Amino acid sequence: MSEETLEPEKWVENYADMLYRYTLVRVKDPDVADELVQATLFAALKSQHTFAGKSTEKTWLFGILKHKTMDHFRSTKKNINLNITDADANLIQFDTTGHMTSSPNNWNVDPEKATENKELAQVLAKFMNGLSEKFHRLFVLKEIEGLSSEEICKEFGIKPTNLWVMLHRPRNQLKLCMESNWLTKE
Amino acid sequence: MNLFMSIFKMTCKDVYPLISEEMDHSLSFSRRARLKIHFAICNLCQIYSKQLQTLRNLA
Repeated sequence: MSEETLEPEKWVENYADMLYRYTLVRVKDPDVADELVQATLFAALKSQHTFAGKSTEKTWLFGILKHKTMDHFRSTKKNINLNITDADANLIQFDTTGHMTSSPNNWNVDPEKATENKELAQVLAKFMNGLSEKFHRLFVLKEIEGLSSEEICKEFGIKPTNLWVMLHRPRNQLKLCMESNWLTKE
Repeated sequence: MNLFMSIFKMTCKDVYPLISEEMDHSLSFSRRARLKIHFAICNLCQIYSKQLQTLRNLA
């Protein structure tokens, strides 16, 4: 079995765009995404000797980027003020009897098959940019990085009940964005 | 009897935060029951639930 080898001279050409897109979905700010990808390539260059050839070059680079991204999340978490009070703003309209005033549009997307829908994923990524910093961060950690509620609570020192309430907000906002801007055109 | 009545008095407004919450941890039995029974009578909340699930899978 041939071992994987590194070809640093081709990294930029082969992976830079991929790494950048991966990062941009997670950090929102293009400048930060730029920095993280550069830092990743730089770190990879410096630690080439640690590459054991057990994974592919691509997986190895993404592994480094993932670490850099999580480091970035940790170092900037103090800027994120998780305040429960503005999480419960109702984005959906209800009538006085507590029923929705307009029917949600049936997306005709099988939730199970959504993972394969690249086009729709791009639309979602675009709308994620419209989330405020803190709801963006929560959504990314929970739904993209796949951290557990416990991990997120520990990270930010908040209670699970508060987290659950707060996670509803970005989901709700994204749902409404998807609905009003894209899926209804079908 | 109280639980029974409270289940049928659930409105979409009461239920929709639970739909999101259910994605993050297992709800207590009574809250899960409320959700299920509401789903049985409310198509809108079912759609809402599917949409949130779709978002999760897209992300």
